[in-house]
Amino acid sequence: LEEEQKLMYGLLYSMKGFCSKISPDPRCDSFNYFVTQTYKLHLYETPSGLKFVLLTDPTQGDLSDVLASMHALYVQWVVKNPLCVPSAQVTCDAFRTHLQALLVALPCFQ
Amino acid sequence: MSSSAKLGEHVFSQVEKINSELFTLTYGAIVMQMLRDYEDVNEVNRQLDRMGYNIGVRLIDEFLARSGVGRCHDLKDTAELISKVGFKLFLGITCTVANWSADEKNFSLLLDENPLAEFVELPTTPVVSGSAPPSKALLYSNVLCGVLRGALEMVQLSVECKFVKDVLRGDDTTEIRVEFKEYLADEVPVGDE
Repeated sequence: LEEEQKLMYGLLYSMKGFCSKISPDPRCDSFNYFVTQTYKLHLYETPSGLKFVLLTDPTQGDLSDVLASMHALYVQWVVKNPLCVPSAQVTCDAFRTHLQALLVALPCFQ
Repeated sequence: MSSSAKLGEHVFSQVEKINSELFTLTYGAIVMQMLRDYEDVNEVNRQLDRMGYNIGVRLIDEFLARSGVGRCHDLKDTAELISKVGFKLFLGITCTVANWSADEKNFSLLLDENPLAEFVELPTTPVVSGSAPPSKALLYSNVLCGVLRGALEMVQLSVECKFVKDVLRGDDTTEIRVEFKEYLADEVPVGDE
């Protein structure tokens, strides 16, 4: 999991660097999603540096709302939880349950 | 009404409310207990700032989730959002941004009302004999300065906040001075190839 995290972080860092170079607005370095032949990666980044990443099949539409809901869930169950340290891995069961429920209820979930 | 004021009203209408007197009394009880525990008014000020910092670091995420705002273009935007949306969302009040410095790096937040300090009077006698009395030296709402500092640090803005005027100490208004120090660059974790 550790390796996967580093890989993901490196990927996002490089993509954002790429976006900031080709973007007409030099301050804008974020993207909503990118598509490859096998998957689609959705990114939701907050100004506070939190990144929410969702991997789906390439045919999905824009899932920014879903990611925004995930952010709201994160705030409710992790940020407001005195036992959760923000930089550590999230082990809160309530968060996982609610997140699972959110994703399973999506029309695109099979 | 400006767009940030409208946003402030909108998010405020959606958030759960609690009894403001309960809030004021709870905060007052905390400060009173701290004065008894630490005895030194300056230490209490520091601890309130530290508490505020820890709150601010987490508060920013709730603010961003509820308001849905993106990055601010400049400090003026930041000040507008803090005064009209941030304060509204968490304290139910708005404050005014004023006294911009010439280089536009420093500004003041003027609070007409302060929910933390409703009906509060600071004692004029010192807590420990020989030290300054709370009515002169205690920054009662210093937790707010800590919150601003912590929250802004999480969006890569390093600031210093302090109370320059407080109605509890006999001034005519409550004023927080916010001084921009620097932008914090994103740090890449060490050890990445």
